[in-house]
Amino acid sequence: MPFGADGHLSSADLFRQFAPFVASFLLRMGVSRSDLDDVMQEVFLVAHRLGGYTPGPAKPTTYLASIAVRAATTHRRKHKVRSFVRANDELVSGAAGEGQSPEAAFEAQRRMRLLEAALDRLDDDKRAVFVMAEIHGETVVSIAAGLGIPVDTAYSRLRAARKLFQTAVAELTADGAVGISPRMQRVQP
Amino acid sequence: MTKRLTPLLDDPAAAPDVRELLLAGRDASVTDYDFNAGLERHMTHVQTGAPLPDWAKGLEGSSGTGTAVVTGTSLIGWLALPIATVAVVGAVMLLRDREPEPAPTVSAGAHGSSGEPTQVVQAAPTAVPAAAPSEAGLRADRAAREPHGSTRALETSRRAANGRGQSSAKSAAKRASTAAGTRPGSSATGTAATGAARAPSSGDLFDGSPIPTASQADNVARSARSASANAAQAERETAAEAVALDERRGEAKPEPAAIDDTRLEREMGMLAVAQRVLHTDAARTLSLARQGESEFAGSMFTQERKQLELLALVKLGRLDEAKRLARPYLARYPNGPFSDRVRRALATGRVER
Repeated sequence: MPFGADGHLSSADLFRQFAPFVASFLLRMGVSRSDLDDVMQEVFLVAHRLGGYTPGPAKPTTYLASIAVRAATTHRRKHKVRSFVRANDELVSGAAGEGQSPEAAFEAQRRMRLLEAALDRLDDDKRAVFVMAEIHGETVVSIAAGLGIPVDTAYSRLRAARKLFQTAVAELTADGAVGISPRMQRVQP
Repeated sequence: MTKRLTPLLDDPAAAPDVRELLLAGRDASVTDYDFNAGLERHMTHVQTGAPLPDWAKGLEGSSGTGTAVVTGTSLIGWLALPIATVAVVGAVMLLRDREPEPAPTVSAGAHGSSGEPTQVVQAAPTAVPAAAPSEAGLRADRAAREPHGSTRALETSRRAANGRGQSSAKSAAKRASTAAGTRPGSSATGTAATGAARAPSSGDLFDGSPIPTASQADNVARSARSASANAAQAERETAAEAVALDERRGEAKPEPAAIDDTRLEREMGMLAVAQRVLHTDAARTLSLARQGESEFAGSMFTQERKQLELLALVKLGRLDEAKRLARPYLARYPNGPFSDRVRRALATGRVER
């Protein structure tokens, strides 16, 4: 990982190295595809204004995630009443998975929708910790440092988020996980 | 307490569905985003000194070390700025209408032993719209949506402030002034109200300011309910007077627009689409902005909508028309959140992203 002489990373360095992480994190935090670029730009612009990343207790990923959480939360609040726009976005961006058979693409899409629906059951605080820990594989200590919360609090949120997530998945797949369950059809974007 | 947790993916006790979904999330890469183009845009924003998004204004000045970004004093700034803005606006409104005040009618539970209002009383106006919007507040909101909404809303609030239930009337004044000048989501009142409505929790991601205790919160709620009831009575009387006055004048008073989620959703949806297609289909933005203004004239989104109309005209090369229409806009909103962007567009003939 090419760091500066003192480990400092400018916002451009951060973008080059961690943009895929930030993009994925934002999507898992509920940002719609069509707004991804706008929110990405906001995250890295804020990182730039903060002077980039200087090594500390948090890793660059959790540092960026702490900014992205705020951006995603604001975005989600704004878009609660714009859900129909989001529905169109999802249709437009539904062509992911080039080279996959139609069945595999459908299955991948079904899983992602199920994942989103289950994550939607978590509040923003728990969701952030859960996504970083369980999907991006960050350590709880680094997550706590990035978010500026006590490690015990991070563990506590993670435990609570796990319970909620598992319950949500059980409920969402209760009708037989072949297709999207009727409940899923209601909650999907 | 800090026992190491096995990731769910590696936990054999976790349900297969759960592991499958987490694996899907871990494997999913963002394939339809052009990272090179994104980096170019980022560099352009850096070079042109693009303004920070509203949500990050309080962050500027905090350091970019690998420690928490959303914590400590920077958060106090985030919370304090909108609350202070609301407080200043409210204070200005009240000072303008100040009359010899009768004894406060806010509930006794909100007073200290000396009889002076405690800090809990001051918190009540913020809590009212979040916890239980009073009739006065709703009326002010309705008035703000009408043509010349800001004037009517302020009048409504002033009349209510002169009656009983002053605490709630103050909140109505704040809500009215905010509705007239800002938009929800980014508005100071929205933030403050959200902050008041949040249940206090230790270690909250966005905390950093003093959190009221449970008993303080109870007091706030009690005083808010009491003030709301007083304001409702005052508002009923005020509304009756207003109707009688209108009837005497023989004016056909337009029915206030109903507070209707569907209507609001439609308006915001139109605005969102207009904003989204500004750079790709300015003619559609222009059409949506004008249609929106005819449909929701004088709503709280007027300022933003008119801004889009002006930017669309610039984008379409109709600079003379844009300049002509911008004169009254900039005269009305000289320091509005979109005014600088409009000025830059008019000066350069280009619309920033």
